[in-house]
Amino acid sequence: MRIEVKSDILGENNRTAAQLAKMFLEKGIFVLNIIGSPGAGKTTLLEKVFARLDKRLRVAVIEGDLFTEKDAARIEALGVTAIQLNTQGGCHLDAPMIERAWAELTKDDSRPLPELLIIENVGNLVCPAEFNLGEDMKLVILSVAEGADKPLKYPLIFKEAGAVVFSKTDLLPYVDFDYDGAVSDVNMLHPGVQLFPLSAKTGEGMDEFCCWLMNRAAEKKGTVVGKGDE
Amino acid sequence: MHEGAIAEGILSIALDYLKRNSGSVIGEVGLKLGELSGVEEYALQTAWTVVTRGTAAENAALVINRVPLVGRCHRCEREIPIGKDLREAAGLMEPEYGSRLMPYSFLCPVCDTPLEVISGREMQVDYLDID
Repeated sequence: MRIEVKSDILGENNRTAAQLAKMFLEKGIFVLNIIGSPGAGKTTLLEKVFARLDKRLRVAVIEGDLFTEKDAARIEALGVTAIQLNTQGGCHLDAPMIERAWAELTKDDSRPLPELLIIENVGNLVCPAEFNLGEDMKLVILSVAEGADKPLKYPLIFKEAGAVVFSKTDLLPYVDFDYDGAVSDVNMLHPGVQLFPLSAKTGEGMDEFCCWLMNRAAEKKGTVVGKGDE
Repeated sequence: MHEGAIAEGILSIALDYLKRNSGSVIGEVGLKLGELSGVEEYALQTAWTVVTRGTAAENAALVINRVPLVGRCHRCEREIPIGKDLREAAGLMEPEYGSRLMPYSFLCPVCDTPLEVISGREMQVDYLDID
């Protein structure tokens, strides 16, 4: 007997993600899901961003890695709350993991909620693209040392991302990165996507990025205030 | 390598529908996978063999139907196949598994307007054959 099913394979993940998104909206928290290869500079970017924000924004971070608490320790060293998730070999984070991490982050209810929640996904340009985590936006980081051919080789994540960072621009004189080609390829995959070339090391482009991040968080918070909740 | 998680998702849906329809064994599971869904078929088949062991889907064939990636241009009202060799898109050439794709472009080749993806992102259990 043949039965028609027509059911989304990632339906369960997507339902949890939708609940999370609704909750983040009610609380006015901007949630950014950061995706990039191992070594693209995800954690370094966060460290430098938090130092620049200098507590002007309440931030919390969910760190995803296969093993170790190294990244959470780096973030906590800056006085920012961080929860480490270890996937023990898993190549991506899923929405139920975020649900558990959020419960852990908020178990002490005397602490104020963050205004910005950053989820640093497992280093990988492939699998995390498929899994919604209830975020407002995916951000993909590509370091110039990885090569300008990556957007066309990993199109899905560049299509899904709401913003693209080209990191380590201080290395441009030393690596053969076709910058204009990469910009044009990214625009072909995601016309008009927000693009940030920056170097966490020298600080180039960091003001623009931090400013954008603060504006996104303020905007999201505004949607709550606008409803007359406060 | 998220095919393990995907195989588990398929199995959970299949077993749920089997139960709802009071069946005892699953013979075939049909999937619809969009060209842009990041699923590698060989890895998925391997993962499927592993996760179904000892379940009612143990001997179930996983039949994968690929859905082409197509965009719509709202300016010139065209439907545009994305990432296809034009000969293949026009049906003049058989697509081959693992064949080289053209780079994806989500801009209309005629008027440069961003395309809306109308198919190719599917990741769906389409049907089940049960007894």
